[in-house]
Amino acid sequence: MTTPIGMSPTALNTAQRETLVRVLDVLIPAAAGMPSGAEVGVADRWIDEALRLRPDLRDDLLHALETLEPIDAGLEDALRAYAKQHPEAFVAVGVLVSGAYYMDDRARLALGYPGQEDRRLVDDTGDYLDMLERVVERGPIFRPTPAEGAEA
Amino acid sequence: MAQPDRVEVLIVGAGPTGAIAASELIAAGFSVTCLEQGDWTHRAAFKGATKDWELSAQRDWHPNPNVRGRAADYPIDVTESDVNPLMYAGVGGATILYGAHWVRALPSDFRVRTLDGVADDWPLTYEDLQPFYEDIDQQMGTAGLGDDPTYPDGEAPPLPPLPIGKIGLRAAQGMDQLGWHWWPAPNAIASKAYRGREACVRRGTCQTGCPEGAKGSADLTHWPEAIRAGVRLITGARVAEITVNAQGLADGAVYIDRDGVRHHVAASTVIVAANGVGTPRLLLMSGRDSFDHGLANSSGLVGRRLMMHPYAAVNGVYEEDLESWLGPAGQSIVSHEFYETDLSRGFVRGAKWQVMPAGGPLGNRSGYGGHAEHGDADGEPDPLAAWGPSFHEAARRTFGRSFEWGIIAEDLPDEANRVVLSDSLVDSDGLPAPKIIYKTSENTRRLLDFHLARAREAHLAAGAIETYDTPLMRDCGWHLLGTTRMGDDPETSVVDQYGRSHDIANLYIYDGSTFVTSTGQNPTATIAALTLRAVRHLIAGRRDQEVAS
Ligand SMILES: Cc1cc2nc3c(=O)[nH]c(=O)nc-3n(C[C@H](O)[C@H](O)[C@H](O)COP(=O)(O)OP(=O)(O)OC[C@H]3O[C@@H](n4cnc5c(N)ncnc54)[C@H](O)[C@@H]3O)c2cc1C
Ligand code: SF4
Repeated sequence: MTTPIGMSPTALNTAQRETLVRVLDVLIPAAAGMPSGAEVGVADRWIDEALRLRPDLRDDLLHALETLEPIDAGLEDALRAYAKQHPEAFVAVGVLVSGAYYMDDRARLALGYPGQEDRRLVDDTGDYLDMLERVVERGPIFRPTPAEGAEA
Repeated sequence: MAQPDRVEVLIVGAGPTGAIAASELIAAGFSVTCLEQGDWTHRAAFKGATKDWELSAQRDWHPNPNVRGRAADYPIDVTESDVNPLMYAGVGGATILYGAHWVRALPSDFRVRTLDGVADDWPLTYEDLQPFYEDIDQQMGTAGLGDDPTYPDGEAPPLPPLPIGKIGLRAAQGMDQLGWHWWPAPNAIASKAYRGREACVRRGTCQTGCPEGAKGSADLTHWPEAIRAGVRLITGARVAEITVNAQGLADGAVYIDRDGVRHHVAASTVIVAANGVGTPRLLLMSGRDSFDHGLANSSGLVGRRLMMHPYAAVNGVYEEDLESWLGPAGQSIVSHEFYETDLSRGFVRGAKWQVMPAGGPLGNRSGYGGHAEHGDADGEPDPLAAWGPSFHEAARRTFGRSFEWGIIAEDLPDEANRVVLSDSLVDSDGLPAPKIIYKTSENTRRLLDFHLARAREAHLAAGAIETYDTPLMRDCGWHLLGTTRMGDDPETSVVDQYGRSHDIANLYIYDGSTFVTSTGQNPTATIAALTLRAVRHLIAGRRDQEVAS
């Protein structure tokens, strides 16, 4: 597949994005208080970012989208069949869409994930010293170096 | 003949062992050059603080060089291996990516034959190494708590322990219930600003590089000072061969620069510090015209007895929010409850356990190969089972609420497990890639089964509502050991206890290749202590050292 001049090599065309939206409705719908993949812009923003990071998965994604594009009704079953036929490509699609999804702040916020934030270190030894005392009281647990010439 | 260009000591590899050796030698007045195939990795390149961290961890910062695929990495043929070796090419070596779990071996590790009747004893004891462990703790800035009853008495780590966090506390409560050993984990991570390093901020991305400069990687702990003191570190220099003169002494090395040009560095003494795969590969590539089986290999053991610590883990899911994306990663708490041999378990030796955080929503090990399948074991699993509403439900159930009890299994030496040269795969300079032949043994499989069962119990005692096993991770070869073992007898070992080759009196090996057995511990504290002991011995014996001239 060639990339039209002026487009980023990772960008998808309109038809591919439309198919991706339909795939996302199956894979990452809105549920459990979480926004859907399409809603947070997986198909129009984050997928480009994901492909920039994982160019190795691009061919698999394009293959899946191309295969699924003509399917109108019953996309879920078609996706299931595709996953069985092309398990590796399906895994690649999964990595890309889930990775793309969790880059969005709305998804992160809804899940309670602040990102790999920095936090000041706190000394929490006070929380466990009593338990640790019991470990110490049980005594050493190592086998000492045997005397020279000792046998098993 | 005077040779002004001849360096006194040439080191191959700028990982921690090369760095420690260089630091000691330059301080003792030697001229030192180090050749490193990789480059410097700048802190700003690490992704820990940005949104693309999880996806980049799966490729650009993956620990498997075959996945990362950078030109500085050599590819590795793993078609005949159960486990993929993991490493990083660059100043600091694999410590750029390591977890900084800084644990010592135990006295029994050095007496495996005497105590358990298997494998071999080391030519040294824990007591021989203890002062060097303590010295290296100061150099690395280890954080932890003294008096762990796992070890003989000794000095406490120089820095206070890092927080064990909610995950460590939960895990400790389980161990407390069971009456099993646990201890706040020692890490080579600064819990306070230390020797130019910042204090850790718990970002939890240690294994893809520390963006804060808090983790004790050798590019920070040793190289800047060693270079200031006069060590010449040449990066982008892939060593193709160690050269030997007519007297049978090592007299330097040939390296290939980034433009593909070959250079010879003449040296009086050569130290190889290229890790348990890179070192045997280099010896096997060297001296092929003069020796049948590579350099320093009259024993035939170069490349053999490879040990990589098969790794298994049990993930526990808890009801409460444990903020389990928080670092360090790094380890939170450790256990040596099942480290020592108990024959009633049906296997010899044991494993160290550690609690580690679970990372972001994609999961700490999401990019690692060899996951346990969570499908339906009886029927054909539904490939969409993890998708749709379940995708969110699973994230809600597990994200921030799960952590791993990881199991570092001791694998015993087996001559059939080995590093050879690939006859088809080459690196970006056309040099033969290493090929790994490695199978796990029956003892290892029993050991892992036992430990997985106990780790499940540990989670359940701590209140886990679900557990998931990862029986053997394929991408788990963090620890590369045993391929040029040390010993007193030149027929059954490659180097002596100070890393000196039995065959070539001025050729030294200072990395994990020299391990006699693998121990069940993360090895870098031991590798570093052995290096310190060896290089100080070399310096003390400088007047008697035979050198190439
Ligand atoms: C992801 C990861 C996590 C880890 N976590 C831990 C942990 O928590 N605790 C622990 O104890 N250990 C851990 N380890 C292992 C630890 O990093 C190694 O034990 C340690 O780095 C070994 O040091 P070394 O100097 O012997 O070798 P390395 O660090 O591997 O350094 C060898 C250097 O030699 C260079 N080299 C190799 N061949 C050539 C050549 N032909 N020419 C020029 N240069 C060459 C390489 O590029 C490399 O930079 C981890 C490793 C990985 C990959
Ligand atoms: S947790 Fe600490 S050591 Fe690890 S990456 Fe963050 S700051 Fe660095």
